[in-house]
Amino acid sequence: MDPWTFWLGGALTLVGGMLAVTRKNAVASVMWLVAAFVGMSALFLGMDAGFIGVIQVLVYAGAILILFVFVIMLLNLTPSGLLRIDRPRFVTLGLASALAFVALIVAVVTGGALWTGAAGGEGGIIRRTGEPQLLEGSVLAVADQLFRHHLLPFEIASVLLLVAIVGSVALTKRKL
Amino acid sequence: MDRVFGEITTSHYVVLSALIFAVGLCGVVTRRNAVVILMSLELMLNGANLAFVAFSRHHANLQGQVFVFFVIAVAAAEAAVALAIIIALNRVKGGVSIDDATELRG
Repeated sequence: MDPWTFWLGGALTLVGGMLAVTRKNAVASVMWLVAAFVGMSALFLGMDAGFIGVIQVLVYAGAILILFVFVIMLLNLTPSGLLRIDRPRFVTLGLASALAFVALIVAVVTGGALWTGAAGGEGGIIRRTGEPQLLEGSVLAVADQLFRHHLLPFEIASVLLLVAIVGSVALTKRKL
Repeated sequence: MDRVFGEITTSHYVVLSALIFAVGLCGVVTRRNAVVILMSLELMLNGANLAFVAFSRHHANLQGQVFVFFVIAVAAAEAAVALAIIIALNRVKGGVSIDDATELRG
């Protein structure tokens, strides 16, 4: 795979995510999150997961985040209400837990090679099991998998979305 | 260094997904605007999705991508319901700070 897709897409996703989490204005947060999700879509496309990459932009950036913008505009959140920074003692706590999580994953992935200085090679748990096969995540392949083996979960997901629609209407209506 | 900047392996994607998840985690723990917390949650879901697709490619098995499809469907439902709750919260409390909603603390 092209390393540039990984590095550029990963950088866009990480920087966008960090900015989205730290912006004081919620609308700016949403816009940076859109950038992050576009970078994520590039990562998916770099992994030959075309279908997932497209619905990442269509559903996430196109539908879910627009819903966020819509709600922020609807509530008319004044910037002053958003400006209050945000629990200083939890910032250290959050950073510590996030760092611990990343360190854990890196330790598992590298098999501790970063700390013990063991000669890399086949460290960690992620090993190639045989020849890497070509995996095409095209619409055809994913749809085949989805409708041949996961038809019931697919139908349940549609019921879930229906329940979510009815629930949102019921929650936001002043008088039922 | 060669192993980090050389060929892109599944490990690269897993570490990146952990980083994205951690950024989202920081947002969920530190922010108190409910809308931003929800956005950080979406970022965490995306970090998990990246790991799913990376392992799907690693094992040449499309089930990981099917699972990502379901995660996105559930995330859409979750976002719709959560935003409805936020609108209701704004109506009752006149704001969307989670510090206003502490009745369940007891």
